[in-house]
Amino acid sequence: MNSQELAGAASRFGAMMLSCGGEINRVEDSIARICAAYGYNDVGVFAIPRTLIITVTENGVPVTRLENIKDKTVNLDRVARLNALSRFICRVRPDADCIARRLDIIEKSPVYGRFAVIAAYFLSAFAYAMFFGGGIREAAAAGLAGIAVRLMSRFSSKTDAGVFFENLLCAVVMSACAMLLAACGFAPRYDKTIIGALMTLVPGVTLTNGARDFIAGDFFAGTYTLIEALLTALGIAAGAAVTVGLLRGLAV
Amino acid sequence: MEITADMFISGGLTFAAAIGFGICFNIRGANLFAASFGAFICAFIEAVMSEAGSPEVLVCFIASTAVTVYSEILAKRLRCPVPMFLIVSIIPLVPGGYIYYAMMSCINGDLADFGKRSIYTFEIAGAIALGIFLVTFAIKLMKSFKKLPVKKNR
Repeated sequence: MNSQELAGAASRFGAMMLSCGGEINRVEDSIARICAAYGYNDVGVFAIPRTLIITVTENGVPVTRLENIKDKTVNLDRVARLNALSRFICRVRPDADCIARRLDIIEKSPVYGRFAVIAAYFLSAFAYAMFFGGGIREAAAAGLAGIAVRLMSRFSSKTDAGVFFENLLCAVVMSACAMLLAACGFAPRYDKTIIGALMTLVPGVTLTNGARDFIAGDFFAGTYTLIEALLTALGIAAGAAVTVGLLRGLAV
Repeated sequence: MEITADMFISGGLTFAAAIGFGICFNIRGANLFAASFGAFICAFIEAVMSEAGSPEVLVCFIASTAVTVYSEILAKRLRCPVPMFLIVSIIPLVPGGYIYYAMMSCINGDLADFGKRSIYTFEIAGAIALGIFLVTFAIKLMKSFKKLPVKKNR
């Protein structure tokens, strides 16, 4: 495989992994291993959550690819498949077409349907509201607020306004939903409702990946991701605070 | 200190919530249940240690360490990346409730309490991260020991 093909395949692989929520360290490591498998040891890889740069050098001629990751989701099954693909590539060393075909297959790998995900948000918020001491009504209200979060997050991620504002928006909608349900008497203990629904927003992914990147030695990527987690939490807190503060009068 | 049914109920609710998160993160098949069981373990340890009266920060640290070990073992066994299990298992520890109460203090104007609660939230987050750090670092050490050249006895 020549350096052009390899750079193309590796950058597509890396971009896919980043856009599915793979850790930075895993992306850089996988790409380095894939390139090494084909005998290219003079490889530069740099990844941050939304950008990937690869340079493969063959006979002193560098080939560079830069990928911008636009749609970021968390698709852990796809990360696992990409991981398995990288092991396959390192073992078998297939040609570029084979890699492209396998990447196409992974791109089409199954995802839970829209309604399953909405139900999942309901379930998580419901269960956590009960976990934190709410009754059935608070839990049901939390579930509905969770659904509101899901619908809002699909919209807000399209605004591309940054992690803080996207989560602020979702938290506003979530809290408004909870406060309205409290105001109409369905679930008067809005604090339990909000805590339950809030758990669907907490930055578990960024916290975990950031901590792992940090300890893997990549302080830049780790810090970047941990700060993203911090901004997410601040956005949630700010959104919920403003909404609860404004609508408290209604719910009392 | 005894193991009460309440602890299993907490664990069960967390398990259900984790199934929800697993679906959101598109974890499929047996991995979904394995990951959610990690969340059960997390909540169970939290409940047992809180019942025994341990300070919250220590509880979070120990629980975080335990689920990271669980996730690493499972990742090896099921040949999947560690975060697949770790992310879902760690979520019960993330201080959602504390963020809310800190924020409520803030909008009530009680800034001293807000400061105290915010710092506490950071302590908890730090304990969680430290648990992950510790186990991940230990695994790294183990892997690098295996790579050391071994002197053959002649």
